[in-house]
Amino acid sequence: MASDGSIITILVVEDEPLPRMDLAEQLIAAGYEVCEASSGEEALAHLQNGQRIDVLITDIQLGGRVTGWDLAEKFRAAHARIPVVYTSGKPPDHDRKVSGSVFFSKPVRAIDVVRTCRSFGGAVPDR
Amino acid sequence: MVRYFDRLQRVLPRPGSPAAIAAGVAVFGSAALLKMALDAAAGDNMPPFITFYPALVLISLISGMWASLIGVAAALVLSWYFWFPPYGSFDIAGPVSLSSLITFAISGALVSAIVGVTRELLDEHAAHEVERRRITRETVHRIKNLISVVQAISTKVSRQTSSFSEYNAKFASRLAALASAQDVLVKTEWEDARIREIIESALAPFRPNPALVVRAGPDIVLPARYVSGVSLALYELATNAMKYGALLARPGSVSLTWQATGNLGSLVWKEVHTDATRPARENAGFGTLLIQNAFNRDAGTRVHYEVTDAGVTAEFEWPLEAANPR
Repeated sequence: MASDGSIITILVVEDEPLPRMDLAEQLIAAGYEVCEASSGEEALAHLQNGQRIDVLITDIQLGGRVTGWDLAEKFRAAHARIPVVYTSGKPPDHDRKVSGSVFFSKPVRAIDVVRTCRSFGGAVPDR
Repeated sequence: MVRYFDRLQRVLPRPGSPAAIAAGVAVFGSAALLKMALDAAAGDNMPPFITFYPALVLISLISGMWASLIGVAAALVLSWYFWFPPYGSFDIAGPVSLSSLITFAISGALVSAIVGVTRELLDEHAAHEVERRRITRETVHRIKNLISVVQAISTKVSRQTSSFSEYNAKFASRLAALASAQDVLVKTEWEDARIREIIESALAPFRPNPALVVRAGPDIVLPARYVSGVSLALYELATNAMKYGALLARPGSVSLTWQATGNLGSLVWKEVHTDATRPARENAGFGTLLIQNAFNRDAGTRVHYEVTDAGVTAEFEWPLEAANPR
């Protein structure tokens, strides 16, 4: 639950549909509300629409111009303490990771992501 | 040894760059000054080109072949004027001077060419090495993404099967579809692929079958990012038709056609059952999900999938603007 008692909403951004749907299903099963986006542009639309997003989980290479690094920076600019989880088949770029973020190398076990989301507890963990 | 050459290549300026030209001029000037210093130290004229041969090797290596050839011409003019009798003139004293000048011109050009080509080979090797590393990184990235897809398929299949043999059969068939998509992608080097090739690859296990008719349309392509999705969807449709539909041993037919309309490509799977007593399959489940997500629900694409007592229709539409077949 979020600090106001409502269900935490997680945005899952991944351009591969099957891994995205799989992760989304497992997060839903863990009690989260989940929005899905297949591109960085679609994810930004969630932000621009003012939709409530409590946690961002994003792949890095999303097929379009907007990368996961860009997304995290834009979400952080709008919500300074939003927890960010990166997933990628590429090594992490420590210069681009936003502070307090978590990086998972693919393939990602959904259970690990769920555990990480639970660990946030509504606040951004220290790096 | 190659490692040392790689290190050398990394510290050398790019031939033709201001740094390379400046370095070439500096080396040439140093060679001329050294010649004068040697003459002064020896109290006599040293051989005219004594310092220019090593200088040409350096110039060619640092600044490239063309800079070195200019150096040959400059050394020739300088030495001829100052260090060949009669000094301070371009007159030629005799055949010895003439042969000496000609020998330097030829050997200097050869040195420039050989060392210059070596430099080019060094640069090419370094560029290939950078490209090889990039491809390796990209391949690992794709493999990891593919493993993620396989992992997701396994999870989905395991939730919808009740025995290991059922899981094994369904998982293996979807892996085969994914593998066929990889064949197409490797062939096109992960670029847009011709729809004809995707269909041939995805439906190869189901053909020849007189009930499955592929009517070739125009030579249109599918963006690389949709190749796996459409391959999985086609495989799913064909598997279902074999197990429950028109490709089973009951009268029926499947036609697969594609066409281009304006800026849209479309692919239509039309399955007609003549056995109307057979109940329609449940229009849900992982197979349906695969079909409906063939284009990842991207903007500008459309998938219409319908199962009725009379048959199955699946229509796929995608924008053609990024077409770039190999």
